[in-house]
Amino acid sequence: MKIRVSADLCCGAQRCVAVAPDVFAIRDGFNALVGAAEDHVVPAPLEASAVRGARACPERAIQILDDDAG
Amino acid sequence: MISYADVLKQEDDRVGELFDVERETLDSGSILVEDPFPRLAQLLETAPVRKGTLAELMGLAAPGRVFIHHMPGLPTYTALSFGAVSRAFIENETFSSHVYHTTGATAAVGHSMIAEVGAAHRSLRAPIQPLFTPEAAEGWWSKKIIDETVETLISTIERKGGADLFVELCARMPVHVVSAGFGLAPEDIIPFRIALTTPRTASAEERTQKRQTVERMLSEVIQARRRKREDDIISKLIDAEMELDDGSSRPFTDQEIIENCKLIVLAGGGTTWRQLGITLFALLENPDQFEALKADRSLLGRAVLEAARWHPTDLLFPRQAAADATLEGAEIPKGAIVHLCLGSANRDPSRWDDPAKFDIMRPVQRSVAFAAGPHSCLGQHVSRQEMVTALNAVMDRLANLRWDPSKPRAKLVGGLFARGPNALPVVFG
Repeated sequence: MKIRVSADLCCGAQRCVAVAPDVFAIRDGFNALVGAAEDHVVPAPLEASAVRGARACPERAIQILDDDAG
Repeated sequence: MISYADVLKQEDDRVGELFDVERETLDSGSILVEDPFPRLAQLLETAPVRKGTLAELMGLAAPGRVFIHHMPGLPTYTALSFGAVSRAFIENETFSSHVYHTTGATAAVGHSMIAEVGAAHRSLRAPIQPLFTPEAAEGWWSKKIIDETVETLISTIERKGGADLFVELCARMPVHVVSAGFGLAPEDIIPFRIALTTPRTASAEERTQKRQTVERMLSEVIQARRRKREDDIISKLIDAEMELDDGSSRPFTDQEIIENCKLIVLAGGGTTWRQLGITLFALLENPDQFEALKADRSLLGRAVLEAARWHPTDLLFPRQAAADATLEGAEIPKGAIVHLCLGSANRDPSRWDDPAKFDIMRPVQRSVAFAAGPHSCLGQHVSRQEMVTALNAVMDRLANLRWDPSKPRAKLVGGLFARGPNALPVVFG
């Protein structure tokens, strides 16, 4: 599974970090607010955690990409 | 039984008195500030962060003048650049929202999630957040109350040929939407708003009386919903569960529901009307862009965001350094107040070309109009949905909309907080 974080939508609320610290982190720099790189590949054991993080995002800035699409 | 639409169809002089940006500014103890943006642009050229309050840096501070979120006597720094403001909002444990205890806001308004930090803030906000997502705004809020409110108001306005859209549309819509959404009875919406807003000069007695009125009105709704749930936010809050640090969970107490209702209804009814007014002002001042928008409604979402970038209604929010900190090179000592200036940050030339220009065609980039970080505006999607629905109705129903040439030209007024138009006199048809 891959995830994509939109830098334009991310407002740094850090709900993803709170519910899924094993996947998400705040990256330094005001304009790149989320730890996951674009189209970040999530290892299988962390998939459930990544989905929880994406669901917690108040801005819907975290997109879960299907394997097929990736 | 009087319906929500019945209340909106009635003329109500209290609305014009209650929703008046100049009066609101003067009641807060502030002076009226002419266009603040040229001075903000000059300040931003000097440094991303400056020592001094925003009012001092703008040359507005004087004995007897009160500015919201200013604490004379405490060392204060002002963050001006987009980078500094965004970072300070995001690093909330360092640039702390506990500031509201220092400014006295929690004593005056009550202890809500706005003054919490970290886990304590998360546990209060997390159960409320799902009620304000983009999906909830487009779905529940629209069907429940936004569409009906806008339709009722625009039906009244369109028969007249001319109107002050600021009072008749901008002022009436958001307070109605948020109050009805929470479950207040139609006839209680304006009395609740009156009780919720207190001029700085109000006596202690008046303040107590108003606070008791607010709490009594909310308690009555909460008790009624505890007996029988309805399709409203208070019912949903009664059934919500707060997750605690130890992994256990519990429902909100009545007092927690009351404090957060006060915060959200105050903010929801007190910001969107001014921001919608600013958006309409910008469009009426730029008829070519208004025409482009009428022709291509897919631009509407970004037009709303561009107006909020160009002129956010609130120019500053406060924070307080929880430890010695560095912000874009400035050393900020523990305990200092930090003014985060949305007004300058949203026109940072390092992020936007020709930043003073209102331009709905510019590429969308996140601004700090709705703040950033854990305290990003909870109601922003509902607010944006209200603005989009209202602007669509204006474009659909008020053909050939333009300034009323017989009235004084509208202007944007206010202090450093809570700015908006003084009126929006228009004719159409």
